Amino acid sequence: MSDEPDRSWTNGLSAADRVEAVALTVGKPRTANWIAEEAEVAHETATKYLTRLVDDGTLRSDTRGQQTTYEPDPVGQYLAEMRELYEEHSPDELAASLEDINEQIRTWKTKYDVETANQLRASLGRTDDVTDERNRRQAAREWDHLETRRRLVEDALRLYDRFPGERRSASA
Amino acid sequence: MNRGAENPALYRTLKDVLERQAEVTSVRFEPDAIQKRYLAAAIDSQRVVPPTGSESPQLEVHWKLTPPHDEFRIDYADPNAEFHCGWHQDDDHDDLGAAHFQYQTASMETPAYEAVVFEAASPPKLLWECCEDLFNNVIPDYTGEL
Repeated sequence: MSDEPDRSWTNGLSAADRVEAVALTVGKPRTANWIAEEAEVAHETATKYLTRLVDDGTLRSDTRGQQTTYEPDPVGQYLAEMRELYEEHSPDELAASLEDINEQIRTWKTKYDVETANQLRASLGRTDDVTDERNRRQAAREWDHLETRRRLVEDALRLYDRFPGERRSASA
Repeated sequence: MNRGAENPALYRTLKDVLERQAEVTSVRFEPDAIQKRYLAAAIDSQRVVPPTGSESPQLEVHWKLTPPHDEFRIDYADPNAEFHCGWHQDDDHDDLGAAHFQYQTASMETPAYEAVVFEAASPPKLLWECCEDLFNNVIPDYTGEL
């Protein structure tokens, strides 16, 4: 319809935001060409913003021969997440969420009689029930995610040991 | 990123995409911003076309980066119209290809499934494409006659 507002990707986000959004969510290192095509910007525009994001530690680049690829900088992303957890949540909130995570993982261990997410994955071929298989696959996926979050929360709590009471957004 | 390490920027970027949709009033992490298991966006029932009842529809996004095909579910539910739909890329319905669209209106006993192919390859652009389709086409087409 002609009266529909233009809500396209290129109209909703600036070129810089599109390049950053695409580069921050790549599943494997990608070239500036690939990122430019997804972000719908010129190659030079993509390179300009990508270089800036590498300089500020958001992305990392790897050059082999003629080809340079980009992906999220793991240390930069870890530090951003750590800062967010530290500044936006009290130690009590972090500890309570950690307990929720542990409880959820314990529930899966008991329910499926396994010790790890990979053991749960290995059990997929042994069930004929499609719904059960789907639930197991989904649980394994969520389990991986919660293991990652658990490590981050544990690190954020250690940050409180080192810098107690220096949280900026004091909601408590 | 190291294999097996999750990218925390993924959900942060997708949250930003949802927050930019005109129909979205707020976006939160579920069950909280510490665990970040998935995203849930509250939709203004009067901003969708056609407007729906008094309860707020919800848009949920689950995503996992798993090259070559990410696993994701983008689900919309409108309790007023009893309408559900979603774009799923997972191991369900392999017969339809890597991804499928499913929907169920109040008068349908079971959901209908369709194969779907996306133009976008990256998560934020793909989510944007689905939101555009949802609000421009899907909701008017499937809830318009109510």
